[in-house]
Amino acid sequence: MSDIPKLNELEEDLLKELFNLGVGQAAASLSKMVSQEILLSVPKVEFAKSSAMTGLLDNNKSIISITQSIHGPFDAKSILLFPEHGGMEVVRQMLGAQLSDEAIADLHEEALSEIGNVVLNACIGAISKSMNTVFDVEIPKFNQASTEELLKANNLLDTDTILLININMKLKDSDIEGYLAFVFSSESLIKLQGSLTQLINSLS
Amino acid sequence: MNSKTLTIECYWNLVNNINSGIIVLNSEKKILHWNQWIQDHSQFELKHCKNQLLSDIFTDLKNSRIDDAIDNALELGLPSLISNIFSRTPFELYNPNRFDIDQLDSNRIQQTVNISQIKIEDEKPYCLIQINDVTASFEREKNLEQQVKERKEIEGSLLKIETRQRAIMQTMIDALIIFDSNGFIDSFNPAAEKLFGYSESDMMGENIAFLIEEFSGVNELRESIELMFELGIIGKTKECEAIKRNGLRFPVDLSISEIALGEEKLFSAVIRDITDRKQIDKIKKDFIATVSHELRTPLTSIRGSLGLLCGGLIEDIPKKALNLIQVANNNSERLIFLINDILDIEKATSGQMTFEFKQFNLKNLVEQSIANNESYASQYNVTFQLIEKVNNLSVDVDEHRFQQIMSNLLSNAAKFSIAESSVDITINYHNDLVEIDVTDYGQGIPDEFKESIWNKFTQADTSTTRKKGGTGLGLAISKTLIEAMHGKISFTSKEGEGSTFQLRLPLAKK
Repeated sequence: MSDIPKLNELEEDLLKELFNLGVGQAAASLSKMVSQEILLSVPKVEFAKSSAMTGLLDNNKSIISITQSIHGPFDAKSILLFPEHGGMEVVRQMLGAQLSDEAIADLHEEALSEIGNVVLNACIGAISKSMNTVFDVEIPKFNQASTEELLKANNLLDTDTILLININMKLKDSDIEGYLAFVFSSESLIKLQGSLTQLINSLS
Repeated sequence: MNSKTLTIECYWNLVNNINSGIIVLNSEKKILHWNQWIQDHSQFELKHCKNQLLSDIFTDLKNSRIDDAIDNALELGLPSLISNIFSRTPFELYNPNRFDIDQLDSNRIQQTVNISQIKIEDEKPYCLIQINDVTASFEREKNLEQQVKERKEIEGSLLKIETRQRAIMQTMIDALIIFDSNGFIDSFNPAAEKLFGYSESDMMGENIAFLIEEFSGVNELRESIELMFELGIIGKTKECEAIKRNGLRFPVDLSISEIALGEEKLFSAVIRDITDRKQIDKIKKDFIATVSHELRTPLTSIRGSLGLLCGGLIEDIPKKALNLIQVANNNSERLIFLINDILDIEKATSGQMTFEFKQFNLKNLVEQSIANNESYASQYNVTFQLIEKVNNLSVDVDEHRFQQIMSNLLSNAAKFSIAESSVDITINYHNDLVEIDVTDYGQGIPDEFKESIWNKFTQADTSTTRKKGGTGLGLAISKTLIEAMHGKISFTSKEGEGSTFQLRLPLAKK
């Protein structure tokens, strides 16, 4: 049960910059993976209640999530989220070949786990580098469920605070919207803010 | 045993026995150790590679995703999963049983790679690389995918065929009904709907006996179909009667074919309304009959007059004129024969001919025929010879019609014989039938003509019509007549050797 932390403009800019860096790295890695240009952008970074995820993805009954937990100066669960259709479309576009729906359905779990791994690693890496620290990072877990089940699987209460990063993925023919969510314990949240303040201070 | 007692060598020994590839790098990305599996699949010996950069040994790795992932693991502790989807064969590793240099590339194994950091207390981090061989499941999936693709192609082409066939059925001008071996209707095309006045949905599951008079008397259509097979109707066209929704009966051409669909047997009936054709046929026949009849009356009086003139009714006709009258008389006789033949055949085929059946001794009948035709044969210097192999046979025939047939056969035989030869007439009894063979030793019937011999107005060489006379209707009439008397006619012939025409008739019941 934590209140939504208020970030000042500087802190917000810094976070946005961090994730821009991470997501930029992720785009480069993904492009290398499939030898085609993939553009990722971060239009929005905000703190929200976890219930907001329901609102954001509610139109889609089934949500695909790839989760990697991190432990270190602060603990968090990093989650990449796609509506089911968007997730399938990412796989289809990245594999390029004329694949049948059945083939995509067979491959999507493994493919999205790998894609999630690349995106999450890049973002975690960006945070690690800028904060000059190393996290102990778990391997990615794939899940496909309703938003409700997803919150339950991650032991989240509606009122828990999450850092929600909107991600726009541009592939050849499509524009797919996904989300990156960082779920912090209240303790970790304070630590994060501390780290941010420290970083700002060291920069100025 | 506590962990401190396990030396690093113990660990390496354990790792050696794992059935997947294990590589440990130090923080400088140099090879510290790898297990037997890597050695087996690369044919590189560890002792020659130790302390070298991994990408110097596996050169494909330079600047690859694997290289990036190793950096991520060593510098940031980030674990990476590299599935087989985006990078299929990152390491130069091969099937250990097929180290054939020529085909090395095709034996490169499909891999999944996991890369993570190992941290031991305060030492610099190590990088652990695990490699799994997923070639078997890759091949399986590829095969499966291929099968799915092939099946889809087959399904696609089947659908195309079905659509095309459906389109053909829908647009056919003839009515097409598909039914099963019990006669239940499976499909009924728009032409059938139009012809019978029922819709396809009305007729689905109904029996075809409902529509075709031919089947309606049969309890078991299956039997009827078997019967049709025996009679050779399947695959041929047959005239029969069909019934419209309003009860109207109408003549149709019915062609039934069998469609074998695996175990299931279906039949297709193509039905064509021949009401118009029948009407035209009737008009044509009526026309011929009327015209022939109208022609015969004046011709009879012409021939009578010419006959009288030839017979010397008027004296003092100059010899030149008499010759001309003779020619006119002969030709008027020929014309009468032709018209009689046409009338006969029209009567016979329309069933208007009446027969007076009586029992006769066959030998007497045949002797009579021979006597009737002897003078005709003498024109060609041909003699008839009767051979009676079986005595005392009697037949049930119309005498006049029988003589007509025999005259046709005997005059043909004489006409086509070589001069000074004989024509053999043999009477025999065989297979419960009376046989009369008329054999000549003439030029025979050319092979290409044999098929059309029973057609009307046919002679082998149209030029012989002029030389030998005749209308070309004789055999057609003979066939119709003998069949009306429950008999059959057939022939055998060899070019240059002669021909035999055979009549077969049932023996008269005593």
